[in-house]
Amino acid sequence: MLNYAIRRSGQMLVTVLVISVIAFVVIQLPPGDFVNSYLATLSGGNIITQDAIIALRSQFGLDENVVVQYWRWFTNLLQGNMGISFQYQRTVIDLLGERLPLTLAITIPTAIFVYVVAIPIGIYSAVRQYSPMDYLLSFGGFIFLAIPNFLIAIVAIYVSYRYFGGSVGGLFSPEYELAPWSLGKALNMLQNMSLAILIIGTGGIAATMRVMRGMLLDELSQAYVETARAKGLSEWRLILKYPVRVAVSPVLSTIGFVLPALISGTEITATVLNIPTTGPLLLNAVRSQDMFLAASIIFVLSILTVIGTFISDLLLVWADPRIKL
Amino acid sequence: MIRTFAPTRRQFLKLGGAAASALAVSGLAGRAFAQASQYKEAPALAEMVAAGTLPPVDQRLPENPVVIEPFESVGTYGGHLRTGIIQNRGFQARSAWGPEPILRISRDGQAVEPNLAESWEYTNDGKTFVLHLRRGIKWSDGEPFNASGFDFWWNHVNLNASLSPAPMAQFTVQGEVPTFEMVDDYTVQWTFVAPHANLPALLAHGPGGTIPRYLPRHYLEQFHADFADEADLNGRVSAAGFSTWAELFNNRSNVQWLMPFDNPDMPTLLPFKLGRAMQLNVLVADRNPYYWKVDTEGQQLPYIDDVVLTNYESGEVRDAAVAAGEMNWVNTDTTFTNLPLYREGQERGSYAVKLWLTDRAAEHTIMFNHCAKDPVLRELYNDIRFKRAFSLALDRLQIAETVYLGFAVPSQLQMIPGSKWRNEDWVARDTEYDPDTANSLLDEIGLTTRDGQGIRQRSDGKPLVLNMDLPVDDPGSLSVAELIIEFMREVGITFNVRTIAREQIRALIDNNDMEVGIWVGDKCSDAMFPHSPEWHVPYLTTGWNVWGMPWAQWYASKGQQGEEPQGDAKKVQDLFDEMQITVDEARRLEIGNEILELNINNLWNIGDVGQVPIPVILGTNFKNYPEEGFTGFSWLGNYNYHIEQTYFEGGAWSGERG
Repeated sequence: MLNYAIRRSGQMLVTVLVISVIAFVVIQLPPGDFVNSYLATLSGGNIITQDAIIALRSQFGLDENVVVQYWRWFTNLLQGNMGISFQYQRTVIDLLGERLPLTLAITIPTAIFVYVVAIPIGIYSAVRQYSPMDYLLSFGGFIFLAIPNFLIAIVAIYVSYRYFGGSVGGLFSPEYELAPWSLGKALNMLQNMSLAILIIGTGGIAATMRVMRGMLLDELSQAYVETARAKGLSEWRLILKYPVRVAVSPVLSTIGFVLPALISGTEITATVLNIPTTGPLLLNAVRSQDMFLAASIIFVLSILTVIGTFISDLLLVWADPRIKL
Repeated sequence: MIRTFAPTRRQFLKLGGAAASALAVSGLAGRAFAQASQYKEAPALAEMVAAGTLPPVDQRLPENPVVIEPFESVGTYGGHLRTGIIQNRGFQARSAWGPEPILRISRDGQAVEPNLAESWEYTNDGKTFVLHLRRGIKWSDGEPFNASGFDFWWNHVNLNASLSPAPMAQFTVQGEVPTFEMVDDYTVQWTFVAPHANLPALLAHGPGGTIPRYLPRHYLEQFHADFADEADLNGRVSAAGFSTWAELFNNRSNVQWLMPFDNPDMPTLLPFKLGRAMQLNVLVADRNPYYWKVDTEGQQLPYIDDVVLTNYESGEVRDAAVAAGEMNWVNTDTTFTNLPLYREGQERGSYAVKLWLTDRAAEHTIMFNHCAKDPVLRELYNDIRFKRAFSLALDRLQIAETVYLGFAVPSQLQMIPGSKWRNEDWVARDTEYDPDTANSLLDEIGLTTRDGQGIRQRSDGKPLVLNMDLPVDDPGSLSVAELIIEFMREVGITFNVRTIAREQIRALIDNNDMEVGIWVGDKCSDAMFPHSPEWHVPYLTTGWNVWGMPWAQWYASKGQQGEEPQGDAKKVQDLFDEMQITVDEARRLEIGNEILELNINNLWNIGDVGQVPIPVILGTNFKNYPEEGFTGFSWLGNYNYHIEQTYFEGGAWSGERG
């Protein structure tokens, strides 16, 4: 076990390093750099002189070659300095710190929500195959799988605006926006967040549910299930203890990806719902080539991904005794 | 009126005694005396004065505060101004609480009037520009405002290489940096090599200026390497997470986007000061208790209590929020094509949609690259007959109907209505829809051979294809471009439209790789044309003048880069040079007309339609704003309408929730 952990750590380190290089390079691949996109956003005519552009470039360090920029960024990173966001003129750590609590407050409940709902539904669907409930759940599953999250978000916003006169997106309704914290404000936030969680979660539920159902159906037709029944085990106990453990491995092997998704998995939906999570932050950073912000977030994501996959693998070993390290 | 005052001894003693007893009485009366002051203030501020946390209003205002004449009626205190920006582009909200420039644009947009400076003059054969500052103005923390703020900015920011690698270009004439002198506490002057005729207009506006030209040195010196103790400063820099003191200074002095967005501690002269920096997409600016203006009844401005600004992650989301009635003041980046949506939400949202005009003489300018790399295209694009043919082939009335719901007028890229340089003939020239003449002009050029589909062929045998690049997130120009494809097919030209991300367009323009460009035809106002005629003169290398970027590069680099323009293009650059040093109004009028005439004769820019209104969202009981007005970058939004004297009837917006 220890050997395995050491070997894995070495692999994770190499993976993270390679990802950081690739991310840094790719972010700068589109022609131009942040100064270009900064100028481009000044639609409406703010005029910057040529000298100011040269100044900006040298201020941001954009006039040096990529290797030097990367090295400087990376060494700073190891000292805990993630650099400055050109767009916001604040440190990256500041920006992430501001948005991270809210992001986690949405994505963690979403992740839990997804698994707590999807796995039992998937199991039920497989055990009661072809029952009316199964058809209903599968039908719903397909619909939510096919419709993108942001579209559901847009429809929700429209319905809320049109028929309920509700506020459009955001964490708080206008009357609570600036008010000091109170029970009413907390409830209002929970209300808006629940909508977000619901919308973000539906797609994930559908996918996981279908996978669970498919795998379990395979297992339920195996001989050992018959044997267990013959031996007198109660139906649900036997299902949960044996076939489910095997069927759940695809779900477990992808659970690792939940970790990075916790940070950035909501870009488009959060943009539509106007919730300031790290998702839109990353999206805008990449679009405007705000390279330190984008590269730092991706770096954090890659670390979380490799840790997440490691945890996945451990979970798999625990769940399925056939797998050896 | 001056009267000599020569009292007798008895009179003098009497006066002195009267004065002394008046002072004594006032001291005894204390609070009662203060309440009998000649100025009034907002109730919230009055409470703070009563609690002793703020000096009385008479001490906060200058001796002679600026008196603002309300647009319609004297206002009542109270209310929140609710506005929104998209993707954190702060300059969109620029006139929600400012700016307060040194000189300001007048209400009608045509003249420059005093603001922080009460007068200015040219001396020394016009080469020296002298500014006289108003006395008694205080920063939002109570410290006095005077010429030392200019001295700090000029000598330690503008000329400091770490903060400004190049001195501000607006202050240079013929490329030379002037000498600055702080004559006394309220007078400053700059001496140039030739009269800087555009300086008053530039001081009222500020293109390219992310730094206002005065700074509160009493606050900022602690962040500046010239003044702060080195160890202290380095400590501050690392505590804040920055790597150089310049980064810290920029962050603390709120230089981004011309607006105070980040640092609530930074003193300001604006009617509102930052109360809560942008946090989870909401920012609040509170009333500035030291604001130096009053209304005609002595009430200290502003009337409105605060400004609540929300950042939206995308334009569509903001439009939905507008329609849901969440804002009561929006007048930038509204999309005309969403007008039905805005109108639909008016009643429930307690706002009204006004249709104001912008500084766009033409909604779009279509520009052929006169320095195109392809020699065949280059020759074509420089041929006036080709451009006239293109212009005549555009069915502008159809563009007006289809894209702008009929709210547009065919127009070349000249000047907006009301401008002193507007010439109705030039505006309308070649704007009629005449595909027959277009076809005959193209035949005349020699593009007579056509292929099987009727597409004309170039002199080298290839089909005539025009490639236009436009930004992917601009639905207006895309709609127009799609119509142009149809129009061009009628005259046998293939028009190819490519949408690319805004960020990439810059790179294409800089490398002279764009063949045909399209952009908004803005800056055609009296406030901007004299100093920034981006479409009419090829001088700006950082702009979007696809039609002559190498010419602009040649001009800006004094011949080191780019390509030298010939004939009219060179002439127009010379005229621009002359405009910059000509103070005489009559001659300036002539120069402007000459520039515009050369433009219409060469059609470097082809305009489509003009006078397209922009939807402006204002709360239903929001007062003291014009029913019809202008808004746009030329007026930094619409600051000339004096946001500080606006108010909500009844003291709050009728659409407030909760």
